[in-house]
Amino acid sequence: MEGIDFFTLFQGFGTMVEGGWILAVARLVLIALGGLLVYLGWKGVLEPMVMIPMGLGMIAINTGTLFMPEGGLGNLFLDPMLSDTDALMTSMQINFLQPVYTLTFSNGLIACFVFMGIGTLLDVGFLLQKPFTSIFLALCAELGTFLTLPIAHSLGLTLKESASIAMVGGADGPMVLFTSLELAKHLFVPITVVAYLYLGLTYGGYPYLVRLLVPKKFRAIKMKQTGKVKNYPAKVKLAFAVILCAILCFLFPVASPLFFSLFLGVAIRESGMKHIMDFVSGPLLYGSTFMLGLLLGVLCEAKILLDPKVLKLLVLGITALLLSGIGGIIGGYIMYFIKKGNFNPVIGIAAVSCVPTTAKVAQKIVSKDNPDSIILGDALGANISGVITSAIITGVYITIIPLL
Amino acid sequence: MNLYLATFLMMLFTFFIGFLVAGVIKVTALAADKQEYLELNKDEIKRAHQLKKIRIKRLKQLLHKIESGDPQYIQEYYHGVSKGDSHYTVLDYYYSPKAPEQTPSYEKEEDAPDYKISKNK
Repeated sequence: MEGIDFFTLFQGFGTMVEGGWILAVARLVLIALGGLLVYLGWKGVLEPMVMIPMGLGMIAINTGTLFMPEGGLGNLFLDPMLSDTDALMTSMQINFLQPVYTLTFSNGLIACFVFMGIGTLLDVGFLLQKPFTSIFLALCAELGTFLTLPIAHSLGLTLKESASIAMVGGADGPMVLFTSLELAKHLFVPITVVAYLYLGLTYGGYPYLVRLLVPKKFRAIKMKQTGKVKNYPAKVKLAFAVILCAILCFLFPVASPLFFSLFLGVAIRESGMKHIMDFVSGPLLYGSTFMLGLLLGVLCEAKILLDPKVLKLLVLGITALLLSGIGGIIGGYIMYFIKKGNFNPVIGIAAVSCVPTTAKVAQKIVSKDNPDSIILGDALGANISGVITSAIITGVYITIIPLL
Repeated sequence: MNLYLATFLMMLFTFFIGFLVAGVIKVTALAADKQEYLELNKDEIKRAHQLKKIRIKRLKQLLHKIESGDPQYIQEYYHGVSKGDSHYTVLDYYYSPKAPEQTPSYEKEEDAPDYKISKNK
């Protein structure tokens, strides 16, 4: 009994003392941040489905640190750094989230599940009506993805790390996860955490950017319908999914799991397989998103995030998203001039992927200034194109960056 | 290679692929529109095809007879059509109080009544 002291009995406190003050402060900050995320998720400021499990995971992992039998600090959740097969097998028998992490997260399966679910939410009819306009806006809204690459490299990151963090500009969580797993596995935890944190902020932050860059008279533009609104049948949308999947997988085999997952979702939606559609758009999408949030939270262990590069990643992530938003609005203005005033530039912000948040944000902003102006159809077309262009850039980066 | 140049080239490449994808989407949409049009006007298109076939068949027969120099056929074919010496126009046929065959013929053009709209001026 004499050997048992307070810090051995209550190892949460013991590990605080043992790890040194820097680690202790970082753990306290992350515990507080976790609490804040839960609160903001509960308030609806951030996406609750991701933020509540993520926040709680952050709290649990940073409070539940213990002394390991072989010495050092550890936890009973998971160890993301394991690569040795024997150690991995041992860990999978002990750490309760290790199987989920190893078999679904670190190989990108969960990103593909989320993408499949997103595919079932996409009505490609909007894109079929105005493909060139939508794709042009989406390409403009990738400004941050391109410009952040040289900026990150000039700040000292390697090309692969720079490309991974630049993908935050594509505003697509699964895409960032996939790119960082392929190009910068050692940094994929902080990059993905930064990406999801910022993506949660787009709903609150982009309206300010739009109001700053688009004057009220432009925001209130009511677009005149020039052509007949077509309602494409399911077989056309199915053909669209099949053709595009084949072309994009052919062009970028490295990103083919993502393309396949996205277009499989679209195909499921359009082929009338009701039970599969219900499963993919419900339990699979929401279950994967929930598990993604949970794993991201558990991965926010202080010693992993105490990488000096994390601060740079935080700055670069917000830079990428900001530049992409500006690029989207510039695209909106270009279309406004091309269409001789019959285009609302706010639609440009919807081209920043993040389905369907940015499309809803665009409609909300426009409705506030002119309740008669309905842009949701065009915004969703641009939004869906944003997913496709982000996937294209993922393919371009994963293929070309290792060659540079 | 200079990173800025490489980034610019990757951007151009992405734009190219993006517009290629947009082109594929447009072609898919146009094909869908055409198919919808064909399905909606299936009966009319079928009838038009049949009429075209009949017309071609008749034209071939006519050409054959003209080439073979059958004067009786040519006369029959031109039945009811002005042989070129009439002063009347199509409007005269439709708007004159009497049918052309009942309209008295005039030796001189100035003898014709005022309602006649003579030759396009």
